[in-house]
Amino acid sequence: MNILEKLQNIDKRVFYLLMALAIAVPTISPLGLGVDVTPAVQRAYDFVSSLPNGGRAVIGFDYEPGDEIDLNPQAKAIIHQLGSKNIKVVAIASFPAGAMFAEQCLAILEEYGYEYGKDYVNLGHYAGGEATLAAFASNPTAVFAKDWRGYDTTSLPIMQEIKSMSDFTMAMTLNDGPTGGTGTHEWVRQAVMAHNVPLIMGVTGVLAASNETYVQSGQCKGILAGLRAAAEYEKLVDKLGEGTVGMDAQSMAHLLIVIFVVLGNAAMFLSKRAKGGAA
Amino acid sequence: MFLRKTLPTLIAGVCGVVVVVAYFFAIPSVQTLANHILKWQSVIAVFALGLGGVNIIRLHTKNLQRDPKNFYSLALLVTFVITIVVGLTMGQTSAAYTFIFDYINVPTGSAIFSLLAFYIGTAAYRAFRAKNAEAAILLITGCIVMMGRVPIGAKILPFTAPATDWIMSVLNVGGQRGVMIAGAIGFIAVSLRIIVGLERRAYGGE
Repeated sequence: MNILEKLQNIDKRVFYLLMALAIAVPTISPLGLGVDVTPAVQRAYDFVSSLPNGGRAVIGFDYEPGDEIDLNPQAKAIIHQLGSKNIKVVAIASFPAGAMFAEQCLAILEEYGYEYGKDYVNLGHYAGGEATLAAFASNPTAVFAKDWRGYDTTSLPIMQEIKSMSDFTMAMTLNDGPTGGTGTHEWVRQAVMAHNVPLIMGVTGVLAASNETYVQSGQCKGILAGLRAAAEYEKLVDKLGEGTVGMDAQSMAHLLIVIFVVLGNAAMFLSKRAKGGAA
Repeated sequence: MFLRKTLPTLIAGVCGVVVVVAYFFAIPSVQTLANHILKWQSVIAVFALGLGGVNIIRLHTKNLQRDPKNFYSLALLVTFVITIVVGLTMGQTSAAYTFIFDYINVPTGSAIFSLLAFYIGTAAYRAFRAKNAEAAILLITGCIVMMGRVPIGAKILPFTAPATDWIMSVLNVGGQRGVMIAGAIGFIAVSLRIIVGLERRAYGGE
């Protein structure tokens, strides 16, 4: 086997080792590559900035542990912005794990002097996907009789202000896809189309492609896609965190894959040319 | 026959019509009825969740009976029982339940998901070969988007960032719209078939 053939068939264990190094080294020792803010993220940030102080936001934590790496940093960054604008937050989750993530992320609001039950609440998990979201949109306390911490929701001051989805100034879904939970399409139907509440989305990188259509149609005011968007948002709210650190590792991983793809193709072309020349 | 086929068809038909009418027309009585149906739906979904749990226990218990050395089924059952017991007795906001979530559930979920970086990477290396024009277009587009999505791409190849934006907002959206519209039409057709009782598979039939 000559060098060109070897380059086309590199042992996958070599790739695995290099990938592990490409991710581990920048995570342990960040490269500080920095990110430029893209128009999509800037749009989402500008939209939240344009909301009146003291409004109300509903956030759907519609993701599971596998996608926490993309979506938790997004949630934390945007919650910082909501906190700085004194916007009250109601969290719901279409996955059981989502309620736990909501609990982690909403803790940030304490830094801004928020009080549980008055300024923010974690309503917890709901089953039933879009149908339950529709029921929540019509009458939130009918779906969530108790919140995640076990309090009676009708006794919470924040829930006494909210009679339907229309009482929210904005809605957001942090979403890893429709499988098992409430997808972005369902949020568009129930928040935007049924109640005319502006929606922003935080999605995993792979879901950006299918949801970009909602941004162009105006049904979504902004979309955050993947860890990159989290890093950009962290820069905008001036709270650098997990997103920024993770981008170095993601950069190196992408670069490694592209190098391997280019190497494989270059070797294939050179090999074909050599065979053609020999013939 | 009535209980297995006719009654579920009738319930689905009535519920479907009520919810659709309530969505498009502001008739208070219909909207109240639709809200009740939606609440019932969420209650039924919770039962489905419980059914899923029972099914998992049955499946893995059978696995263990067949092969007592099946470590994976044993691990699943043990962690399943521990999590339920901790959740029910100590509460879902307790330190023990949070510990299970933060230090077992999240890391294992993330670890499994992170394996994609390795598998997709090697798959891309082996499959992304420019053997014809279509494959070459896919390959080049994929590489541009991969580089344009990360900061290092913009530093090494500055054109990849705007090129990625253009690919995502023009080429991608055009295709996605077609897929979404076609999907929505199919969804409406299937929903109508269920409402009028033509879609027997929805009730477990052929």
